[in-house]
Amino acid sequence: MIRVAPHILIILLMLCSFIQKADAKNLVVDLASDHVDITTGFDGSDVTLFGQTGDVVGEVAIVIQGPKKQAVVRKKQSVFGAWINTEYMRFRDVPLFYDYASNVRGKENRALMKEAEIGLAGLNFTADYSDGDVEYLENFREALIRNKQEQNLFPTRAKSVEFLDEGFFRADFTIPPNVPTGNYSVISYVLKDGEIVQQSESLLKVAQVGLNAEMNEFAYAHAFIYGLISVLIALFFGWGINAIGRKS
Amino acid sequence: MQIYLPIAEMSISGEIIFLLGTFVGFLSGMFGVGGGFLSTPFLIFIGIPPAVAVGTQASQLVASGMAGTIGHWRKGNVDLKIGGVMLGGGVVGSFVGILIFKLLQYLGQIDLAISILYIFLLCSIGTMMMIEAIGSVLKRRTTKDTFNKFNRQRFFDKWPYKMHFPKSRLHVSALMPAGIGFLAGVMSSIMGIGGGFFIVPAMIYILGMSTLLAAGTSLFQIIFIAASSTLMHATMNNTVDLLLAVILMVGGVIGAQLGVYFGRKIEANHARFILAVLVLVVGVQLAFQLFVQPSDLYSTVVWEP
Repeated sequence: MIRVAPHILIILLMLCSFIQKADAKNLVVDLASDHVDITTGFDGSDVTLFGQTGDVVGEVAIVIQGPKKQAVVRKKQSVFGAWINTEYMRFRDVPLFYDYASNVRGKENRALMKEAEIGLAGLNFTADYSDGDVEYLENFREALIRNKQEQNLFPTRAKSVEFLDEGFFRADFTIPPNVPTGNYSVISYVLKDGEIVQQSESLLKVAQVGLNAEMNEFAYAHAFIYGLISVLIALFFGWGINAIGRKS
Repeated sequence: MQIYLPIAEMSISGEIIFLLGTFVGFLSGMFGVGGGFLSTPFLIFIGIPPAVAVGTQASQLVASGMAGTIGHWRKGNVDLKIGGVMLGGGVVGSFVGILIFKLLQYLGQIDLAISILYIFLLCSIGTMMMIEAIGSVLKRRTTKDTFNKFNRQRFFDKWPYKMHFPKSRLHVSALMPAGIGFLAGVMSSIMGIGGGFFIVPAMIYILGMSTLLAAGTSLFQIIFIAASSTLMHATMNNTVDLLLAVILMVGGVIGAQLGVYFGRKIEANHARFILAVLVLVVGVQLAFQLFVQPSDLYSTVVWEP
């Protein structure tokens, strides 16, 4: 079923574009699947997005962002030979996951990139830091991005936007196995002459499902009973280790 | 096979976890140690958040404590009264340990604290075991008995709240077993270990219990300390991953059998020597990590106050 879905989507989107031909057309975007299901065997996933630009033929950028949280960047220093966290900087509004696809070329409009958070340089997280040492701040900011890239939670470069037909595009993203759960936003932009002319937002739900989800929910909703069950299971295994040991 | 852990919220190789459980079970079958000193650092090393590693490890301790206690119970090696006093101190200790853990996490020094504690414990215990193993191979008398006599009586006999423990034939201050239990509780909450390797010597040398009673009683009380530690980690931090725990325990059941089997084939002195080497290797490895410059001086974590 999952294999068929993209093709149906393509047809639907093309139909839409024909039907709307008479009127002014808007950007139409759809995700092949609007949820990433984390099951026990989850080993990462792909997210595919299809879109049809409207009247305007322009450049396309797509931004995926996870929930925004605070992050702490710590710096180690050698203290009596041991490497110990000594300094830290706190950042606000850091997306747990960020990825983007873009075919924006030529001179980049920095203000625009920041407004739409297109590209790592456009990310709007702010540091809790008021002393004016720009280089010091920049070191921490770069480290945050570098650490996130190493965890595969930030991209090293833009994904490509592939045009299948005039105005009809697709973009592929990879969701790593360590993806944080939450509601992700997927915003698509059509840009022309350094301006956002059209945009469309979709929701991508990244969540544990099935037995995993039930265990996680139970562990938080009934923490004490969950703890008791953990203890009982451990007691049972302890008894089992002893019982098998006596037999052999 | 990749397995997604529901509480740790990360994907991990199932085989590696299973093998770790088997190896730790092997050690406990062969040497009678809990093996927490190995699995907690290893779990952290493969990327499990320290809090989840320690919380989950607490439930492992319940299992290994239970397995050991049944055997000792049948042979009458458990002193319930002294064990009860110890676990009283232990439950308080495990609560204090969790608070210390949270504070260290807040300060960003939890990794450092865990690794320094491990380096200190593993290197000192490993060295002591090594000396004892080499000593007994050379058929020399160890310093056990002399230490026992002159150190204990002087200082601890003045402590108040004297209690009589008929089974161990002891008349000592209740603060002593409670204090040892308290330390065990703190250790189990911060490091995810039962601490048998220092509690048993403390019970023998400081309290003056016989070796077998000390071993049986320490295993007995660790069940309860680890259980309360598990409950607190589960309710206060939500850091007990049951799926991770079960994979480790299934491996442990198998490993324990192998350990018992090989334990019979190997001489006790040699076995202790091997364990000493293993403990030292883990300790030195952790020390090495602390003192070698990391490839990236910066590290980033999500901040959830």
